[in-house]
Amino acid sequence: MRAGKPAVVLLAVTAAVGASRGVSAHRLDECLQAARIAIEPGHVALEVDLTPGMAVADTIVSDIDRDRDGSLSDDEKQAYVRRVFATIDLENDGRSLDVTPGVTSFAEIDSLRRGEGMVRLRAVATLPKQSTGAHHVVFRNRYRPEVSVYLANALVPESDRVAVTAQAHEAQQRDLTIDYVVHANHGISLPTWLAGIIGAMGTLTALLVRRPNASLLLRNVTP
Amino acid sequence: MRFTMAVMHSPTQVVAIACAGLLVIVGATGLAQRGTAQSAPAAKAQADTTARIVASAQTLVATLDAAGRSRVQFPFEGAQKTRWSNLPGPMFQRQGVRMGDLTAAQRAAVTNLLTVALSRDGYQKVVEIMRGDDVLKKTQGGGGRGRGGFGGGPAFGEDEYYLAFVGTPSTTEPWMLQFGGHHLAINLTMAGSQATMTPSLPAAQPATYTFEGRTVRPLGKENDKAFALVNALNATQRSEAILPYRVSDLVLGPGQDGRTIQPEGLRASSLSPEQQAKLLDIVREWAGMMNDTFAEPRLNDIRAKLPDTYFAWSGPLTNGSAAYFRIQGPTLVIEYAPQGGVDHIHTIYRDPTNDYGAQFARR
Repeated sequence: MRAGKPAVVLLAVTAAVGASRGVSAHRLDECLQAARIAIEPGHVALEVDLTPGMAVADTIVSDIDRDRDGSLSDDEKQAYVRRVFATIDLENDGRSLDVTPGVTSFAEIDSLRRGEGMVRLRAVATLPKQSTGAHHVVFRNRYRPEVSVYLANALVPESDRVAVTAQAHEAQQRDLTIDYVVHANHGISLPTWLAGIIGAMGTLTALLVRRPNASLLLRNVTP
Repeated sequence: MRFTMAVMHSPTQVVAIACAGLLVIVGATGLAQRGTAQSAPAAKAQADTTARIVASAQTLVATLDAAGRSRVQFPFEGAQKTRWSNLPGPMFQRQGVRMGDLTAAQRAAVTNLLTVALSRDGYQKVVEIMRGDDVLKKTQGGGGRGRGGFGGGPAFGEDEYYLAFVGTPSTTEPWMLQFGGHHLAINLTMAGSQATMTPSLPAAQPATYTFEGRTVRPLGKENDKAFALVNALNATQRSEAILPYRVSDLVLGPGQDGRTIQPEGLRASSLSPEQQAKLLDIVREWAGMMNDTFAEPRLNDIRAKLPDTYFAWSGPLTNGSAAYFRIQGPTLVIEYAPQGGVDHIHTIYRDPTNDYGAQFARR
């Protein structure tokens, strides 16, 4: 039995080294923060995905697991989301926007510690009533800069009323300025107009076919 | 008076005018569609290719026992379709049949299937990526087993690749051939005469290694062709193509389905014909991985949309340095992202309008 114990320890150490080497094939000592910003009429949707590498995972996990009990409670998750968004600024035309956290998801704590897991944060900010024309949104991310690398991108707006015209990134992508234009609401789209015209033609045709004297009636009301 | 004349048409005349109008609309729509429709011989060749891939898939299935058949098959409309990753097991636990669990005959059937489904260059790239993973296993460890084997550590190497069919292999109905492991995800969706290989993730670590006395670079052409293009740009073009910021990873990698980022960089309409040819030649490294019969129409589509395609670069201009690049068009996203150095590369290939054959499913 005594002879077996060192062997077990050796096996465990070997396995751990093997594991750490393998994981080192991927991001190890940095937390990747990938942000995507979607500007739509009336609101800005914000997505931030945090993927801590194994060597910095404890920094992030201890930021979430504040009572150090080895599990992530709902309260701890909610508090963490608030803390992260408190370090992220979102402005529209120079005015700060209130960011409301939305659906978030956390990988299991062990998965985060192994550098495999992701924390997905979602939020939305309401835009004030906007005139048509040029505007800009500024995104600034100040969460854990000492261990992080960043990605920040504008998504193509789903609405054709908004068009992104330019993006300006800070060299490390911590900050992103998005220029965009708001177009007037044209109301009814061209396909809708076409469908309406075809439908009206069909209805008129059907009425005239069913009422052979229609042209006569029309002629009678002509002055 | 004019109003009177306008309403004096008989019902027959009104019907004739309405029908003529509808004919004009239908005719115009038909003409517009002719521009994109496949020619009959091309469609037949593609349908024949699908039939050969299906036959190869069925041959493989016939070699499996009941447990193997159960493991390889997934429903088309299920979670498996979007379950893929560049990570090794058990960081990401793949489903399907594991190469290391197959007999020699079964592995030969998988090889045959991949050679039929992919182009010659595409198959060669897959083989080189897998061999590279074996080199990594030997130099860095990685003999763990994702299913809880010794140590539970990362499991990579040629045995750790998985094959799955999402949907039943069919010559008419949509289905997907999924093949992947560490640093590789192939998602080839077919529906009759149509096929797409997006999203797919060819990657490499090490990016350069020696096999049987020769130097192998699985993604070497992608790298060299991109450096050649960026160095062929004039100063004005470079000022637009080069992003003044660091891009440290894929933006649209695994888990980023359905997102379209705002394009950046140099618009291909600003390129000379020679430069456009260089750009298409880079794209071919990804789009040309699937069987040539499917790759050519895909490349033609990308070529037609070249004026709305962008080329963006982040990093040094000297080949041998680690530089990120992105090619993005209406139906295309390619990213090439070195992971901290030149010896570990991740790439992604997408069609934001047709990932997983979304257009085929809407037929």
